[in-house]
Amino acid sequence: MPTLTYRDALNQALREEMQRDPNVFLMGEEVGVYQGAYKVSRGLLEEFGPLRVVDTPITELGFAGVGVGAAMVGLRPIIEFMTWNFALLAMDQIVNSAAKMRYMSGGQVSVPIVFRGPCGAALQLAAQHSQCFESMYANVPGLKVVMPATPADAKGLLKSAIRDDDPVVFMEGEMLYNVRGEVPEGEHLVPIGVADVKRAGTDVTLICYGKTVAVALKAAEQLAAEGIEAEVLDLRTVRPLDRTALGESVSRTHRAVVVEEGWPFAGVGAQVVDDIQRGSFDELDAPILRVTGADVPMPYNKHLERAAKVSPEKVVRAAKQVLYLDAGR
Amino acid sequence: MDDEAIRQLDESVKAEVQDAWDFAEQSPDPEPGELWTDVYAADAGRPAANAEQ
Repeated sequence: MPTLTYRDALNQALREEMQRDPNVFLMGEEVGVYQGAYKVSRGLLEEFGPLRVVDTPITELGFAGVGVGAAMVGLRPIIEFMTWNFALLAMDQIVNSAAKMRYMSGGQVSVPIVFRGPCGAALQLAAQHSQCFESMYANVPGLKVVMPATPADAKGLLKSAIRDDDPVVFMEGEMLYNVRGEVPEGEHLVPIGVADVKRAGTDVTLICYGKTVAVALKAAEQLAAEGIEAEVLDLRTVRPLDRTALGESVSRTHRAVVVEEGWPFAGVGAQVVDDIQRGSFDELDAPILRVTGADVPMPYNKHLERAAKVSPEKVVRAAKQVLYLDAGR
Repeated sequence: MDDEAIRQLDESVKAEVQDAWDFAEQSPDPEPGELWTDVYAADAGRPAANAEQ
């Protein structure tokens, strides 16, 4: 199986889906001539031409709206946001148009559209360009929210998202684009709404998604050195949540820590904890803990930024707490 | 487009809106179960698989 970067896995998914279905097209800032701010669309303008790889002005609300309209009349647009931070301006189209058309039309209008781009913090991009928005979009009925952690999942989930008949919010990461991993060639589809055990374990479940999967895997290594076997459960899709996988994993480990990059208040972890306590209360041997980004706008200062972010050390500490081991707080 | 064409367009739009208005007024209230349908494509005609209930 070939080894690809996360960036090239996304590029492969875009190329294959555009070859498969002439209704699929890509639109966004710098996606064509410049081949993407993060080079995800490399070579696509050359292969598919300017009608299907469309450079836009710096008008997020405008081109998101053009995309929604195109989806309503039968095309399958992929709208690239240079980052999800810029998509705040387009939120009206995503939340008020894309998410609601099916319901408000009594099922007559589909909006098969993918909104995609990097989300969350990179390195010292400061408060306005380091934000996680998945819990905001996941709060909206009508939207699906997908956050792949590996190149293989990035390819398989993007292909599924493009074929999905509902609007999909697809969140990548600046710090993920260079990650390498094995990616199946050709028809590789990962279903939306299905979590994946990235590491099996028996003592505690580390629930994570997107960038925090790598954090949880590192924490699991550190825990293993101390004789604690952590299971790493990658949600892959934030909405719909894979409740079956959550229940099965907690039934094995009886303890859980939810790791998310974003803010704690009303975050994805809050939803996960609610689900587990309703579905698996009798399986739990300890309250579930959450490791999140600090509840502050992301500091620009390097040391403060590091302190604000989730880390393997913070996850290890929380895992020991739910195991009632001395966490040395 | 001359004034007559604009007048005809105006009338046709008014008629379309009136049709929709009449359809809405004459339709029965939705069944209670329709609260949960058509949130997602997979829901077509059945309760929302992906909506919280």
